[in-house]
Amino acid sequence: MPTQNGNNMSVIRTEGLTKVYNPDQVPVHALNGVDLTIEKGEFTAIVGPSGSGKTTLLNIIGGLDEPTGGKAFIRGTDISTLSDRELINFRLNHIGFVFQSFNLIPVLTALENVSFIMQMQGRPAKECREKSIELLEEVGLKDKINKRPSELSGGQQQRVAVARALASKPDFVLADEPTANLDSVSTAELLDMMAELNEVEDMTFIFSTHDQRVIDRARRVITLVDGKIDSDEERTVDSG
Amino acid sequence: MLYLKLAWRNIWRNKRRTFITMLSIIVAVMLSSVMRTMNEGSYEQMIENTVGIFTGYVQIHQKGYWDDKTLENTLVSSDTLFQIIAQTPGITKAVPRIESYALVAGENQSRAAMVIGIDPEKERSLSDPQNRIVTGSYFEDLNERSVLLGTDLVQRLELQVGDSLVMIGQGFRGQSAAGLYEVKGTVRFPNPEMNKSLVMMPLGTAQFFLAAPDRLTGISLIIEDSDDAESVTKILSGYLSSEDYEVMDWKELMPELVQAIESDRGSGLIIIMILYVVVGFGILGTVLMMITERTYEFGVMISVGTSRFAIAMMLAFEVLLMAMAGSLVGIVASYPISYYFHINPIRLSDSGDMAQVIETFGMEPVLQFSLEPSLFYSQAIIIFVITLIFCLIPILKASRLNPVKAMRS
Ligand SMILES: Nc1ncnc2c1ncn2[C@@H]1O[C@H](COP(=O)(O)OP(=O)(O)OP(=O)(O)O)[C@@H](O)[C@H]1O
Ligand SMILES: [Mg+2]
Repeated sequence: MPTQNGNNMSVIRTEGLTKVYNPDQVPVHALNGVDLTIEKGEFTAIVGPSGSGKTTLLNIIGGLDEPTGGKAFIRGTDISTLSDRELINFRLNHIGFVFQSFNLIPVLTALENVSFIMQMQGRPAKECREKSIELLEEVGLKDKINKRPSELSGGQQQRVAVARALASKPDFVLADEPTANLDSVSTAELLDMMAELNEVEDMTFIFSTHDQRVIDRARRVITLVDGKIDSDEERTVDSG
Repeated sequence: MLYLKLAWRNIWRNKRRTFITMLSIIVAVMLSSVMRTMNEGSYEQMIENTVGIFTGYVQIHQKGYWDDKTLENTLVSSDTLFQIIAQTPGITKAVPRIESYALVAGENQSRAAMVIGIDPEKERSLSDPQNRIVTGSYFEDLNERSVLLGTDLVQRLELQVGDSLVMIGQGFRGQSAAGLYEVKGTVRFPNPEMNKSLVMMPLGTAQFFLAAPDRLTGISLIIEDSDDAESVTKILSGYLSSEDYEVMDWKELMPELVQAIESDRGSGLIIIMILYVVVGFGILGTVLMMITERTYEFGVMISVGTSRFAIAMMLAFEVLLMAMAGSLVGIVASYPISYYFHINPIRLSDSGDMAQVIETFGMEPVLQFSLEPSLFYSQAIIIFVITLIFCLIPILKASRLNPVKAMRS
């Protein structure tokens, strides 16, 4: 049922998500009932003070962590029903990830890092290579495709990570503080690029951040406080 | 292919760690195979020095002789017997002997001695006395009245080549045996016991001395392949009447030697096991360290959808490549060492424990290493397998990481 009309459904929907760490010792209530719906094409920032539960929320939505209570649906699929193996496969095919730093496999070149995901999906080698080059061109790294991560700047590495996140043709891209380790120029470049991919390809981005300049670029800002949604505002920003 | 590529690059990524891991594998293969070749070499030598050049790998006696070695239990040499032997596959030569004890004396000294009557021609294929002559010369025919003496015995008797030797003993059916023989030469064997007590006579002379014409205490058989001793023994036993004859291979002939080798091999095995465990844990350590260092990376890989199987495969290839290269280099590095000590055996100092043990078996205290190929590759394979076994747990651990936890580290 969910997969048949999956395309009409919200990309992400959560119902009363809760997460308690260390329930037996000193319980930490990281999420306290988060109801959230994210539609295709959103460019949404999750913000909030440190410890408010941003990473926890993104991990649950991304199928990396399990909620203590509540449910998370990705295009109608209740991901808590998936086995570990199914979940890994689900992440591979439906979710793009950009982490704070050290996203890439150090021994692979930019090109190989991007095509790695597609190879894992079992796509033909030629297609992997062509598509990877195309993606790296899109993120502005045409001349760096054969460089290893250690030969790239932090900003360039993050751009490769975005290209990799897109390589699997995911339903959405999750980025937990993608600019935390970048200078302001690289931050702006990365956001320009993400915004463009959002506009042109209608790719859904959800990112957490502390950086006001990044928040300013978001079209929807969800603020978490103590594991609850404190505010949720749609905004208009001048794109480009 | 993808996993292999990743594995290959990861191996070159931290050259120092790869080097250390491989070095421990190499050293392990070297230590264990050099040790094994040393041990097996000493056994080979023990067997060769006793069985190979003296006893023979298979012997035929009159039934009961080996339990009660008297002239009453000798067999009668016959053409039919030698024909049967000649027809048995795997046997190349038959060497007849008659053995007994006698008192031997020079002018001033006397000793108890082991008297062996040999066929001068046939004996060439077993103890080959002519090539062991130190002074004097070899027998020319079966009946000449002369003897060859062990080098130490000659000294003890204060005799020289050309002197006369008096021999007194007991012959067949209690007849008295006495004779005067010319010392024709001295012989030296690798077996010190023999050098102290050996008297060799031509077969006919010995049979006459012992009043046992045509009689033999045994026939030693030269076989094509010493590993076939047991099967040749079986076949030959089938051809000969078990009422009259006993056919024994060297393991039955010398149970003490077999036992000594087995027990030494056993203690060698314990030492080598300890080595395996030490090496195993050493490798476990380096692999665990490698995996700990890369935990974050595995976390990222699993997060973005890399299957746990893929992680395990990649790591398995890494370990496999290192173990394979290490084992091969280990073989290549240990062969020259064993080869050197094969060509230049280690001479143990006479006072040492080891030397004394070896001498009690009547052998020279010399360690000659074996070059048996299986000793090298079996050690390489064992170390290879141990490496894989000890890496199994870290690899499984890495592939089962929880991505969130892994990335928090
Ligand atoms: N594995 C864990 N075990 C125990 N407590 C945890 C664990 N992970 C997170 N927490 C706690 O849960 C709460 C929410 O953490 P989370 O990392 O989601 O916050 P965050 O909003 O991402 O913070 P930051 O902005 O610092 O990244 C915090 O109080 C944190 O200490
Ligand atoms: Mg966080």
